[in-house]
Amino acid sequence: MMNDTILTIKNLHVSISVDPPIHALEGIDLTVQRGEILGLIGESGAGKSLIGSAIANLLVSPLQISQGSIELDSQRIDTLTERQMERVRGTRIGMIFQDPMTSLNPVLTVGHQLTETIRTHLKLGRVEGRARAVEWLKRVGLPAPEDMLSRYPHEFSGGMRQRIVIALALCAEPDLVIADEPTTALDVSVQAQILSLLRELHRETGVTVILITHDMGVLAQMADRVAVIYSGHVVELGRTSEIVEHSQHPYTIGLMRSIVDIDTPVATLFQIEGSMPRPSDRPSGCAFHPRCPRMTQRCHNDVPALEGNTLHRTACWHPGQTSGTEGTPKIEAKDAAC
Amino acid sequence: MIRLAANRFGQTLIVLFVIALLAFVLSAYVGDPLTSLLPLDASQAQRDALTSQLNLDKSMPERFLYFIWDALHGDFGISFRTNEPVIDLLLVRLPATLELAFVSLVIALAIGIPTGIHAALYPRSLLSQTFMFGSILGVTLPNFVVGIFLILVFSVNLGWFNSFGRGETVQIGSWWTTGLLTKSGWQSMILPAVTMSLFQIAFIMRMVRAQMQEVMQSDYIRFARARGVRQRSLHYVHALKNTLIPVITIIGLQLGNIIAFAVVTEVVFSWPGMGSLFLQSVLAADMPVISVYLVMIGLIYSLVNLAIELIYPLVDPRVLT
Amino acid sequence: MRVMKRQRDMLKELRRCPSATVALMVIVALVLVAFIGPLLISDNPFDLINLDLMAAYTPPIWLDGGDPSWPLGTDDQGRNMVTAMIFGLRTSLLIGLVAVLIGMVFGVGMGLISGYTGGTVDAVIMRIADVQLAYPALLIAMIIDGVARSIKGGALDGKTAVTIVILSIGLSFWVQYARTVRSSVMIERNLEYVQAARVTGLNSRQILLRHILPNIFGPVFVIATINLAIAIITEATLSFLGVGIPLTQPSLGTLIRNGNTYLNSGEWWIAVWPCLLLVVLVVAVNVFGDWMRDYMNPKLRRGVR
Repeated sequence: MMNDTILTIKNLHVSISVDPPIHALEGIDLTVQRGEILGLIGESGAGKSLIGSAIANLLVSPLQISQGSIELDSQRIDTLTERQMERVRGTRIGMIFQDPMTSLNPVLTVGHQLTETIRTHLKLGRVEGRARAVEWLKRVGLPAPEDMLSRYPHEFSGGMRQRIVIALALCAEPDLVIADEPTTALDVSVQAQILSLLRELHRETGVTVILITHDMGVLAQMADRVAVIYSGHVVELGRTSEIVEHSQHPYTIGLMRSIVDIDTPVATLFQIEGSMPRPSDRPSGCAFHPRCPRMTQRCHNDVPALEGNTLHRTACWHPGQTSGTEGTPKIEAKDAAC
Repeated sequence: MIRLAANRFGQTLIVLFVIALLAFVLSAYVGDPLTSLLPLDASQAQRDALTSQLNLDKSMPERFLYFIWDALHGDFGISFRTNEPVIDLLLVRLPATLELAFVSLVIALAIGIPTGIHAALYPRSLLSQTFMFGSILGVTLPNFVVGIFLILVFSVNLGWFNSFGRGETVQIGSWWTTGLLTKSGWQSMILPAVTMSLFQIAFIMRMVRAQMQEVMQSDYIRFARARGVRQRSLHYVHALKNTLIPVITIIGLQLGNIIAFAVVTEVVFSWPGMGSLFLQSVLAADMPVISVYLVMIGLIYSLVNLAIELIYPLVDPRVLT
Repeated sequence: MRVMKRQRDMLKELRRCPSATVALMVIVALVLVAFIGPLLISDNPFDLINLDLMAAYTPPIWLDGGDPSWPLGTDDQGRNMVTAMIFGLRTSLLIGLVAVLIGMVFGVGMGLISGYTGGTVDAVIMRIADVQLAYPALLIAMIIDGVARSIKGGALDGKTAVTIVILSIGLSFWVQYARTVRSSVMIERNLEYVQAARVTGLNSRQILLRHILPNIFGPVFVIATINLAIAIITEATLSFLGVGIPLTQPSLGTLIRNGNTYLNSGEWWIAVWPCLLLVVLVVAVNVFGDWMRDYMNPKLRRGVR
């Protein structure tokens, strides 16, 4: 397995240009290794989807990249024109969006949408393009793929549509795929199927995946490495096992503790007090400090940078694994009575 | 699908029935055909003859049935004003109005759709802002004012076009006359067609723009963009089809307005169509013509809307399943 | 006092949009001129006593033959264009306003009945509304005019003509009000059933009115503004065609009709000035109405996101 870097994000700022500017993402530094699955986890509004949009240059105005750089295979892509991006998107970077019910054009057949993408990027003729489309539909597990070509999206269920979306994202053979909450809008029973499909395709093609989700369980199954996003910052980054079992950042620790499984006693349901600030209300210094049991004056004054080794880095002035009851004063066990 | 069509067809029939009933009441009981159609010194025998011919002595339900029967055979009564059969009056003028309406619709679509698309895709361009400002004028300016100004500028001052009548017409078939085959025909057609199309252009432009803007914000366009679909295809294949489908329905609903504008335009330009016939009939209290016009408008409106509802499933794949 | 605050907020928002502000000022100015002007003008140009036929066909002041006493010229009967237009403006505005009021009252009433009663009554009313969609105000007015002429046996006198115009334009508007009010009523009705425990049966109608009327005031007002422009245009068109307001108490449309005959012979000003005034009035009402519609639309509220 090649161990080189396919994507480098340096000091990325995504902002709304008002006065003073509001930074939805601040100082994001990430590298993605070829062939790995990198998970981005965080709650709604933390900015994880924005990272995906920024990479593909699909930010919706008034949001824009205000600082930093993004490099794909050592070439800068954040400065490309829309015309140039047309040759990057689809064939070098693929994207999977969250809601399969709205991701497909309702008035174009599945076949049209698929063959168009294939032929635009791979320069195939009509017959070959069609054959390739059928191949992909088969590959994502759709029955009777030949017939499916002439059908319209509304004729398919949510799970099937997401498979079509995956086929569309991968059919132009990109090196990198960004999957933005690919299973969130699906039934639980279908989620597992889609995840296993993604895993299989990743194994077959070796494509690099950035998997964005708010569900740690998904990342625990799928991701090689995880980046924890909080209020526009990367607060912890490392191997999945490290993040899950040896979390260092208080937010990550809280995140792991609040995951429940079937054996969790009801009385110990856990919740981090307070809530994540909006970009416009971000506190000074470390964004998490008002909610943090380890807070000191330094946390209030200075923004911590990611420190650590290649396996595990944390952006915290007081990193370290929790010591048993640490953090209890500020954190209340939520009463289970509903 | 069949059930849907039958349902709508049934509803349309009921509506048409009510309109026909209303028209019947107007034509049968408002106004006095005997005084209008016969000279003052007509004999009793003449009165009786006309009474029996027009079924004036029969009961209401009977007269209604005769009314429908005659109408289905093309007999719409006799004009009080000219003593001619109404159907003849209408047929002579029908080509003029239809050609005018058709040309103005073509102009409206040819200008309205592209400008709407441009205004949606490049909202900040100077051209788009001009279009939008123009569209406000197009929607608010009264039809006849536009006509008057066009006449002043292009006919009186510049002398390029004609502002009176249809010009030379050519007879096609047994009763159709067309002004589209002669130079003077076109010279006379341009100003009234442009006048009529102005409102439609503005309306279509605004609708296309609004709809296209909404479509461009949709998830599927975003996903297509994320796949690297080329911009031309994105705009004119992925977005356009979704934009135009709802626009079709709205245009159908606007038909009533178009017919109303035809009346005004024809009067301003002395265009010998059904609209000016309608005005003459109103001024002369010519009830048979008025009541036929009433039914005709309702009929056109209902049929066009029915047609649109039946065509809709063919263009929008979502409707059938 | 809540009403006052809402209006103050609206004025503040209005100031941000220069075109709408200008439109409102134009409307206010025209209304003042139309209603106060006639009080200041001693000679009503449409009173036959005041006609000065010698002054007929005088062109505007900047053309050859112009005269300072008639800065915009005179018409075929020697009337001062300026005063003629002021009186015409008043007629146009009055008719438009009354027509809109009639439509509003009738429409809101029908909406209340339709929504509150439900069942067959509601179905019938809504079907009638659907059918009426096919016929624009203009055609309805013309048909009614034709019927009236037939009944009266000839041309109509001034009072009848005016009544027909106002009624037919007004009645063509009721559908929009009725639909809006009807849906508000239906929403409230359902809410009432949910709150059945708290609502005493006797007060249900009053509660309905107290809840509904404040809610619909906004949308109804917006519909009314848009309708005002349509009413003015429709009346002008009817008068232009000759089935509207007669020349004894003319509206702007009647004046334009009068001037239309002289377009080709060179006395263009008799038609053009009333045309321009009509356009200014209608554009102003439309621009302001558009702004108000955007302002009242909760989906477009520009909040901080």
